[in-house]
Amino acid sequence: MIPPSDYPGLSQHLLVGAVLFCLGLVGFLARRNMILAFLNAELMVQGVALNFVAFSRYRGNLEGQSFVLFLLTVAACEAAIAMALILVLYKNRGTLDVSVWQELREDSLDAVEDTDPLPLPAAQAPMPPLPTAGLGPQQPEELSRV
Amino acid sequence: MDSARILDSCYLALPELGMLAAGCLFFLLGTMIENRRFWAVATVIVLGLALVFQIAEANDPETSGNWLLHGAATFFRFLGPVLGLIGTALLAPTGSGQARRGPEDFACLLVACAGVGLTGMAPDLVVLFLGLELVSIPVYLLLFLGKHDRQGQEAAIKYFLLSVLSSALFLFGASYVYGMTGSTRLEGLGGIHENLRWSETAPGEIPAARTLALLFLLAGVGFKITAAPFHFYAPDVYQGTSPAVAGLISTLPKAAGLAALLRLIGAGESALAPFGGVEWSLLWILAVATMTLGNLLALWQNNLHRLLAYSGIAQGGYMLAAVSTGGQAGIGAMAFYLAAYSLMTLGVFAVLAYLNDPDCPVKRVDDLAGLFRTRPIAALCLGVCFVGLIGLPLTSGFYGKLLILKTSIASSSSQGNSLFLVLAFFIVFNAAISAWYYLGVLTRVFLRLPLGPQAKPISPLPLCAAVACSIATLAGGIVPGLIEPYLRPVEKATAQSVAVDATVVVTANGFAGAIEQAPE
Amino acid sequence: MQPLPVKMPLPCDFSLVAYYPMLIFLVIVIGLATVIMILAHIFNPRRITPVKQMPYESGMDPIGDARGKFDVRFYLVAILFLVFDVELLFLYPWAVATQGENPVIVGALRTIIFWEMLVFVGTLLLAWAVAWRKGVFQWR
Repeated sequence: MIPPSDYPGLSQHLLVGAVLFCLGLVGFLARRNMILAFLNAELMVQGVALNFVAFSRYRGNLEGQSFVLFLLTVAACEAAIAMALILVLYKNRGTLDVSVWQELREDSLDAVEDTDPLPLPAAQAPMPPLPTAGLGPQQPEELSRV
Repeated sequence: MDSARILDSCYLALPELGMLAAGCLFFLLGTMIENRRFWAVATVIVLGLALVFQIAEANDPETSGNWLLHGAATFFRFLGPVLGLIGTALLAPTGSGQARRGPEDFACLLVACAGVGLTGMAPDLVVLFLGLELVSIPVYLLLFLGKHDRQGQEAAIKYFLLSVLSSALFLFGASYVYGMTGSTRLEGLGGIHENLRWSETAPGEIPAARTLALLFLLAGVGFKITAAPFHFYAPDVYQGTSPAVAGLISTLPKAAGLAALLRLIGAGESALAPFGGVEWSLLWILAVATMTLGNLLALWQNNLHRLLAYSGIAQGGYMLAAVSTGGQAGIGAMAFYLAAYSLMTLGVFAVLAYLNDPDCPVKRVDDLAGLFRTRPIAALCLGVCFVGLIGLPLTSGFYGKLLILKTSIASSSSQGNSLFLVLAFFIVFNAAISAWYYLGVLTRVFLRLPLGPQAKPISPLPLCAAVACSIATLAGGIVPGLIEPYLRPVEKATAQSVAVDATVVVTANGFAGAIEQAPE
Repeated sequence: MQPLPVKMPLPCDFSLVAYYPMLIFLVIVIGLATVIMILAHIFNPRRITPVKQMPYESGMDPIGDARGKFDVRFYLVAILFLVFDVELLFLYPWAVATQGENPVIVGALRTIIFWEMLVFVGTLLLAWAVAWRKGVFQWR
């Protein structure tokens, strides 16, 4: 077995990894926005990646680093699926809030009433259309000038 | 690491690699050929070739060794394609609603089956993780493709988010295992204790980091096995998806999770106990909690899919119980029971897929009333599979439970640990509880009259799968000698203990049957 | 498997002279770009249309809220980019291990791993072909 090398920074790196992991876990459990929940899960994975790299340096071999390569790739695949899935769900309900999805539950339980729904994005005025070069955009004229 | 070894590894993993390659090709060629019947046949051919290769390989003593082909690894590599073949029959009908085209779900099925095999023979943490993900990622897609309504989408996002969380937990544990052993090789796990230099612990004391890593790893695979604290997603996900996909989710991830568990705790490698023995106690607790909670919660269910989800949770508890006895015999019993459970559950879901008619959905238990009058063959298949899930004699479920009971009683006497007797008691007690709700379904199927309009099946293929599963269930119970020798450890059980345990199971189930009939 | 030596270069090891190929490369690139631009300026025909005179910003409206919403069609491109971008990660360790100063991969292993990488790139190509057949690259 490979003897551990002299690497005094290990505990600090592990601490950062653990902090990232815990932040991700708390965020995953607390967030209601689907994209943010998924990003928090990714944050947990990044904390793990930091652990692997630190351990790899500490143990003096590259197995941990090669694990990180695979880990990042799988995380990217999952991100791609997440994007596609969340997009379809958003099209269906018009919101990213996970708490609107509660059709599947025990018969005896009632749907959870949302006392504090996520704020809907404010409707924005449409931007002026693209002008040709040298001309300013067509802004609607203001009614009164001071 | 030299070139010959790489080529050997590729050759040994040929069935899995072939299934993966076929899956990729299916995605590409599926954009040109949209005939689903063609793709179903192609899937069956690929899976059949993989099975043939594995039979040839399992009989060849020369090739075993490099990829840890022994014991459970070979079993899981067989199990993947077998489940895939039945799954193909379940997925093949297009559904009368929106006619699905293309082979995407077959491709996902192939990849997931390859994932089960790869997890089972993983020599390394990296391969183990990739194997688990190769099961998870196609399952997301299957969930998403299976049903396009709101419920299907809700099931997909629930499974997806929780599965990502579970793999993060698993990875955190894996990173600490790597830190403690200095290697991602799974054989290196035995050296956790010697390599614990960075945490200054007294010799003989259980280092906190080792237990922490074990907890995280167990949480990660527990999600896949639907073990008790991590089971909560299963009923919702099963309820939201189609019967075919629910059948696959109840079997493939569970098989992969159990395979990963065996790899991690080094079971089957002559009592390695890399985590210092804590793992057996934790598994004991998990097993008891899982089976009891699953069975108790199943008692209240009206929805068939939810009922089967809780039943699957409880059955997972029996398998964990077999693993927690910690010997080769326990692994054999677990493998037999896993195969039996998978076939029985797929059989039930095959009947539900057969009856899956959007005009007249079979959702609640009462929707099955009078099935025996209208569709006797489907009802008989359902009957056989449910009887097997209860664990009545002449079915593989009975013989599997018997094996688990036998190992737990044997290990209580060999290890002098009466906790395993308590475990045996819990198994019998739970089998009794489970009989209540299983028989509740069966009474409706066989003794009631049809309530309303009956579903019109689209395709007879799922029924064929159900018949095959029922025959396998009966064969496993009547002539268990067909499979059991392959899963038998070195030691042999005496005939007397079999007889004793058989009486226990029969009595418990008879008792439960009597209770069930009383209020009716 | 023998552990690979992990050696971090010390700051004093750095020498700018080692990077002279980069300088040559830079000179050639800048020169080529300049020559091409000059040639284009001399020889191209000039027909000015309003569309050509529009300010260009990657196919988007150049004037608007910075936090405005993107067209949902960009999502498909983003998904594809994400996957392909990360998959290329596997090429770097291979390149370092075969072509570095003291290569780790030598002999027959080199050929096998080369073919393995080709298979890997072929898989990526297959994924690209699927995306193409599915009509991802059409701007509908």
